[in-house]
Amino acid sequence: MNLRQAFKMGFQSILGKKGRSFLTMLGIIIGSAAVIVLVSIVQGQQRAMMEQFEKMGTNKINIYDYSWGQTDISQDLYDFCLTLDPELMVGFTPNYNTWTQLRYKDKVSDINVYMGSEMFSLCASYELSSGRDISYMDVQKYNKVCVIGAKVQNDLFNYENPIGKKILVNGEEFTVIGTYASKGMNQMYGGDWYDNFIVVPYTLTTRIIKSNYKMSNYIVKASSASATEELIKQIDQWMMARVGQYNYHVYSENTYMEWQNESFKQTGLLLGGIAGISLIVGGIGIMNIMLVTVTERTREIGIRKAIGAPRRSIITQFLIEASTLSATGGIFGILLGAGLTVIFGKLYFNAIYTPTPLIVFIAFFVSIAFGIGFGVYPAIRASRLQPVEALRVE
Amino acid sequence: MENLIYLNDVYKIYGEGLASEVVALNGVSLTIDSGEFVAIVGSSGSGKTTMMNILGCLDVPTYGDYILNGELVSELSDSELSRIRNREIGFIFQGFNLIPELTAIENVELPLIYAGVRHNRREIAMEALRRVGLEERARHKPSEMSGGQQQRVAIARAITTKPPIILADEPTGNLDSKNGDQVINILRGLHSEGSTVVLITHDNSIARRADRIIRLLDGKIIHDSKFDKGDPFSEEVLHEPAAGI
Repeated sequence: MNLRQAFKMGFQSILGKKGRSFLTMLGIIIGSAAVIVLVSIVQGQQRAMMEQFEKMGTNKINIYDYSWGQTDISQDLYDFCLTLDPELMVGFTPNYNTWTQLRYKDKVSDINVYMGSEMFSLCASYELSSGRDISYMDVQKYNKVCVIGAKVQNDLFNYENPIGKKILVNGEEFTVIGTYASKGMNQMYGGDWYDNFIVVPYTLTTRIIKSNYKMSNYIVKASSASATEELIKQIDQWMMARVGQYNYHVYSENTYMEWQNESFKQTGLLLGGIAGISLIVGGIGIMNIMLVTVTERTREIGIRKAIGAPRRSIITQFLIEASTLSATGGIFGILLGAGLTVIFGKLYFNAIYTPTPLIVFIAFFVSIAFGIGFGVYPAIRASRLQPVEALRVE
Repeated sequence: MENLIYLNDVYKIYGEGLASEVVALNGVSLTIDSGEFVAIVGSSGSGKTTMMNILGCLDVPTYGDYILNGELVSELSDSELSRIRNREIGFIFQGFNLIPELTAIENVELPLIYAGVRHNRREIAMEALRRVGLEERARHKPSEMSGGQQQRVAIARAITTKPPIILADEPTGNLDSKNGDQVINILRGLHSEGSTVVLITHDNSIARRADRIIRLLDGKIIHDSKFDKGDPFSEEVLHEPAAGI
């Protein structure tokens, strides 16, 4: 069978009956649009979540020591961290924090104070926006300096340059040496809570806490996802031996992120599958109209058979016609779906979501496949017509 | 001369065994040699069209053998019958039977497509259109042509794969006498070039242009003879037999 001619006749037959073709395609249009919209929205949210996780910091291992009334392991933990493979570990910092009051002139603000090393910003994924970061010397020399988060800068200093200004942290005077850029976290994921903090050298912890404490929290920043897993294993072993089961927690957000990712993937598959059902309904519509077409064109089929068309040519012709119909519907559906995805994303999630090439590809080829699949029965019926009987039909 | 068509005691029975059983062909035996020009005549219901459908491999006999160009048609599969319709037979219908969506040249090209011809298809089809004098109308659709022109396109379609046999079922039935003449002249021309032509007609003026006339009545051959114009004995076959014969 000449494919070019089959395609030409397919399009002619679609264009010749625009109204009917459109109604037939409507099922496929709605089906593929629904698949595109639902999957794209889920994927868009998944990407948004991934971005938030990226901002929080990936490959970040949190170590919590919960052991009570036992000896302080903070120095040992620090020493242990020093022995970790530098290939796997980018850096580590104590990560003890406390909620306290900050005062600058007459302004007061409740914030989180982190006691970190010079590697705090690296480990917790903060970018310096002005001034300088805490240095090794600040830590060693007990310098009363701090770097402040974006929200703190906003709340206390407004348009004033905070660098060099003195602030009171729980009554102790600290000099602001730098500011961190805002993480710009989504409200859903904590918003500016992540910017409402200051960091001071961990060696000054007693000055702020003014009581006994244990430096029980650490962050270890790993060089990669696989390094994260390897380091978690090593740290876990050490903690297990040192403080015993149930007295500590070592984890990375990577695990949570993977779990979330998997759950989004499942949701996408589920919704896409449900939307896919409407594609099946669309396919049945195509089968229906193809049966009508075969009946209408019985005489043409008879002529073709009389001049020597083998059965497979007739089958091919009608399959091409059915798949042209469904592919055209698929294309319209994808365009409609892409438009609706942008609109819904903007309306409900205030973000621009767009369909990925993969889902567009899948929607298009599933449409074609359904056209072929549901076209088989009408096409075979056409090919089985007896030429004499087909020619008798007026 | 070789046997091109050989029918041996062929029956075609519709609804066999039912009360409404119709015997369309009732034991027909017939030989047509290569290069003959045969007219099959008979009143309606005499079995002409059934015979034509069987000769054209559009239908198969209920009983009896049909050997076409050495092949036993009654034993061929669906796809082999398609091949025979495509290569061995050019069919011309009373109602032209062109595909309305396709242009003249596309209609003529169709048998070549089914024959699997890949190269110079347009040229071969154009050659056939030229043979019937319609190359200028190649890009016209059937609806834009007169009946005579449509039938000539149909003839071009029938001859484009150069089949040895041309079967024409009342080819002039829907045409006026001028266009009818033109069609018969083309068929005579094809015959003189070596084609075997079998046509069905109930028009005596058309039948007279044949070399051999076969008359059917009630599914049986009642006359089969050479036709010489002016010979009174030959003219006899052109007259409807009186009831009772």
